[in-house]
Amino acid sequence: MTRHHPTTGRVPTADRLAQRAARAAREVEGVAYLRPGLAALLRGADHPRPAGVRVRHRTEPERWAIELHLAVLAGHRALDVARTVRAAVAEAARETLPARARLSVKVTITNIT
Amino acid sequence: MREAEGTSTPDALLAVRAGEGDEEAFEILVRRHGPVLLRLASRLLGDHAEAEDAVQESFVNAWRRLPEFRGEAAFLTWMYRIVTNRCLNQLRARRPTTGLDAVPEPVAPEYQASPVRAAESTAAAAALSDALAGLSAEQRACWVLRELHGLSYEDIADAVGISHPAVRGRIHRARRQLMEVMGAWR
Amino acid sequence: MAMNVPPPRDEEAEVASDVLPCGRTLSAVWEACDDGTTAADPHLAACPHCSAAVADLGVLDDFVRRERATEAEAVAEAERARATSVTDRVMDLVRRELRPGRPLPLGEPAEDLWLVESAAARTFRAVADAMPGVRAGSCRVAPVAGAGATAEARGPLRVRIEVAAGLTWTVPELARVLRERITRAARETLGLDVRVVDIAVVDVLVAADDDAHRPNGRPR
Repeated sequence: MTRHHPTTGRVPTADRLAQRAARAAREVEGVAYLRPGLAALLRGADHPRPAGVRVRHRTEPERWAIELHLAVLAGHRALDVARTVRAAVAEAARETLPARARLSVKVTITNIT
Repeated sequence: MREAEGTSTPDALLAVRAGEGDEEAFEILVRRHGPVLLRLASRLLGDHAEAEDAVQESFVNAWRRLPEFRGEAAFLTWMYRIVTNRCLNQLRARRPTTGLDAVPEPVAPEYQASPVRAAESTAAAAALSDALAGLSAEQRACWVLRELHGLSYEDIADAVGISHPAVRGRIHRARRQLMEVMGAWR
Repeated sequence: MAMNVPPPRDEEAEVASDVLPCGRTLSAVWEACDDGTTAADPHLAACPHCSAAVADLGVLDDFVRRERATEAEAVAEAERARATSVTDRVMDLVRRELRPGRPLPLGEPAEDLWLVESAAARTFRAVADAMPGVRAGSCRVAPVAGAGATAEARGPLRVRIEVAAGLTWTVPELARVLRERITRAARETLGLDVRVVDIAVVDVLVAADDDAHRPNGRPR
């Protein structure tokens, strides 16, 4: 896909979007870690696609789906953390995506630690 | 979860929890029963490193199968079965290529730990280790499970995968052979 | 060391046919030893064959006793270290195994927020474990809508939890307190909409249950 970012002109690749989403999620208070899936464990730590985030993209209409798996620190209410993560990730993604693109963010808490 | 104050959580509850994905419950079971299963595997395989691998594999295997574990047997009895099975398979696989002579002598690590005990019983331990090494894998498994781990004939039959009378036969034969060696040592 | 292992024989027949020169079967002599009834049979002491068989078994039993006594003592440092390293390796592998687990709905339908069942169950089990003399076993959490629901059905939830409890609790009292605490934890700790809590007391906890997890109750 070759659609360009409205302000920077750079290509919003799935990897970059995933990295932004991961960074935004990690900054939320109460997030312990993003939970790596099996694929991430096999890829190793230095791969550009961060663990615990999956990005899917469809065209016509342009549509991005971001899915996060994460662990929450004990002492933080799971629902509140999940809500904050979802909002933060959506906001970070919006900065990267063209305005007309549709975006969905799904957050799954896999563990409380 | 932590191992509790005063009251320890019964195996059956922990096994159910582990089957539902509770890793900490499983860890308590591994800590609780790892040592005795390691000792069993060391006696059957005669090698500490191989025993560690066998017990490790058996526990991981158990974790995968726990969702189907319905508690028809006690967790430890079930683990005895898995570990015995794993060790017997290894011994059977070993035999055709290496021959009986290469079956290592079962180790008795406790004897190295205590100098006094070592002095008084090294000879007996060595004689018995030799004798154990001369038994067939199944005979040794039956004898060790019975005499050193105190399992019932039913549980041994289950663990080794042979009939109850066959267990009696293996143990009888093992005893006789061990006694012949011990008699010679005396 | 190379023992001569005789060719396989019918071991069951052998047990019956292992006869000492005096006519007693070896298995009968051993049974008397195992049962501690040797004194009741004067022949066993008088007969050289039988008394030799008894003495030989004694040598073997000595070794077994010593072996088992050593087990009962403090375990050697090296052995404890081995057990710990196996535990660490096992748990490392276990934690890498991904059991997907059923997602439960968090928040409002439009929010697309989920919490995996095992994480919720863990919270509820911890609530039960924190009560004196109570230990949780199975804990399942699912939509009230029931079995027909799809994997990602939304809606209110039902908790089914099994516990073992000490005799200080009456079942209704235990159920009332636990239900109240689970409902509160669901709301305050998680944010799950739990409407029904089913509690089953499946076992009685006795304070000194050290032998509870040993097979057959036999000493090791």
